[in-house]
Amino acid sequence: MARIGEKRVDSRAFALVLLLGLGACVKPGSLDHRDEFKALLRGDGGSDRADAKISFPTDAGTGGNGKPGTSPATDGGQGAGCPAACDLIKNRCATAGCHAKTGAAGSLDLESPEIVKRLSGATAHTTACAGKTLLDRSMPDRSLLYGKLTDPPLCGIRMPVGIVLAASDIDCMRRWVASPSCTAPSASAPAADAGSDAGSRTGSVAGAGGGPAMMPSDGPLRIEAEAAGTVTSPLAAQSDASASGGMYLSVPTASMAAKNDAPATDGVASFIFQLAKAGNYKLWGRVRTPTLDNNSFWVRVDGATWVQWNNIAASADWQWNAVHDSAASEAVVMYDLKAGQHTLNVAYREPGADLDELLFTTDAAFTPSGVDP
Amino acid sequence: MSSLLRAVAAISLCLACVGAGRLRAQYEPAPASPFAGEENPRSGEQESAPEPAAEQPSPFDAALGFAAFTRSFEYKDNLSGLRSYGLDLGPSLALRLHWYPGAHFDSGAASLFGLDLRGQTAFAIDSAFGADKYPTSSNALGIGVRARLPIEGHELAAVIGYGHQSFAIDDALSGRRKLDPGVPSTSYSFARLGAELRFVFGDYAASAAAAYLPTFSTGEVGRLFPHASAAGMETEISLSRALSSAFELSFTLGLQRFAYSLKPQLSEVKKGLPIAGGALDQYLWGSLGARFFLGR
Repeated sequence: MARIGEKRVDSRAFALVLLLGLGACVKPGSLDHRDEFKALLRGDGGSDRADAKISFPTDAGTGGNGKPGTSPATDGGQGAGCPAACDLIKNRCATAGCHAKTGAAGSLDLESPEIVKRLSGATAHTTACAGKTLLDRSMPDRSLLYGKLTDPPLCGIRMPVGIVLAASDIDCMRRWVASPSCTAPSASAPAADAGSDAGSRTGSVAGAGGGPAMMPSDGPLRIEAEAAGTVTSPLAAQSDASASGGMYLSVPTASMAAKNDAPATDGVASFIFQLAKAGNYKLWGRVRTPTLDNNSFWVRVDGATWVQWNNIAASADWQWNAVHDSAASEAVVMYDLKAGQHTLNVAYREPGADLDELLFTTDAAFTPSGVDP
Repeated sequence: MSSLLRAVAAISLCLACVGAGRLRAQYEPAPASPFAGEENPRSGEQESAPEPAAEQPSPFDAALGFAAFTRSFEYKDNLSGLRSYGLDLGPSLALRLHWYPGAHFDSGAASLFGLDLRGQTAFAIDSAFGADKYPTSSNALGIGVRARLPIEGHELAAVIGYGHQSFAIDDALSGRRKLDPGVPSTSYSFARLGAELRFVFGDYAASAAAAYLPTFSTGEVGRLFPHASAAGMETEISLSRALSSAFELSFTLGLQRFAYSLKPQLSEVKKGLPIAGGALDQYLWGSLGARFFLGR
């Protein structure tokens, strides 16, 4: 018991109240909308065994004094470790000429059913990766289904050939390998994304990890920013209902410094696109640049010199702005491009500048507007 | 959180006001006796035994401890099969400094306020999964201001400060390839709003401390869960034995936990982000250390 002036303070009660109060404040959160998440995991035809995944099996690490615990290993709902993985496999791997059922490269069939059962513990047939396990849920880093996606790959060449997966997709695949399941084709597969606008006037790429954007013969080419083949940190996809597709690219950290020099490899989004015809192309961006301190990007096509796309008018709303060179009196940049495949890089220059869509057009008089011009 | 902040500030202010008065009572010289130099006119009456002079609080003390700690990181409602993590036991060194600049010059209110500096670093720890070992490091730093109130040899203190604490599990190297541990590294930035009690019983002392840690950033967890929020708390109890007036040995048990509310969004999960409701990052430690008091 301690005394403060005339008041007696029971120190034990004080300590107890303090500890209980702290304990009540510091509790981990629970999952809201649990049923919706479980339904998402199950997908169409998925079994209702998601509860089995809420467990923490005994850690299996050896050596060292700290160890990552194993992931729950279940055959529960679709894509248990990451619900998007089965769609990634379907759309980016199990395609004709690659790992489709017919003529599967390396005799690796990623299209036929029971993929987990067929690949678990099986080894690769290719020379470069001979003897390596295709799918080992206890060792995702040693599994080719994940290890072939990383830079550098576990062996051989990196997959998918052409456009590598975004970092978030690679991370998704890793989690899926640790807890793999694909019980049924998903109705939510984004396969239609890449060609969802095929019948419209503009071509588009709307889903992350989509194939090369194709230029329709009679109109501009629209590219969703978040559909970049690769995005390096600190640039990252953000969500916003007012953005096309609900997503955009940005460096959100306000404290991050502006990148006044041309970028190296960090903060860069890369897009591969196909042009049906050669021409002199103007590139537009749907951007949101809230202040004059958040209103610039770096842009280049086919590895040419970076263009400083700066001094975009400040606006809290999305707006279309033609790529111009602020180092050359704000001259609008025209790209003389041949038919065929090209690479577009957009890098962050200032944090807080948001990029929603890109649009190539040969029509110098065309000014895009709205979400889907 | 703001109410807690106000409460701690109020405690600090209260300590300052009350402490100023008490210190004057404890440390100011007693008024000259009207009977000084005279024979005690009350000779023959039994005098009460003189109370021992209260020990003046030290202006500076430093504690160095060797600790053994464990760590666990686990998810709640883990629908995506995210990896948990456990560190069985790891060694660390901890240093804690309290400096009351005003106490060098004054025994009044100025001696009650000081700086609180603390740091901790782990060594010889790593993490393993299968045959792969992942370099691991853990560090913590804290700085703050503290107010103390000596109460008949005991002490009550409040601390307001800022802290940063990291637990990093780096990629393992396999040939020229890096292996991802699959467990997020944490890097917490937080405020420390705490209170401490120290009871002295002769050569022994018992202490209890607790703090709320409103957390501003968490590190890689935010990459998987962009809408996550976290808060932390820590408690310590300690037993000490004085070896001399300036040194004491102490044994401390501590618990620190950061609790996450991960708030996954359906739209983001469809794009590959994981599903979990919460997570708990918890540290337990025991330490043996020595503490030095300047000016005792």
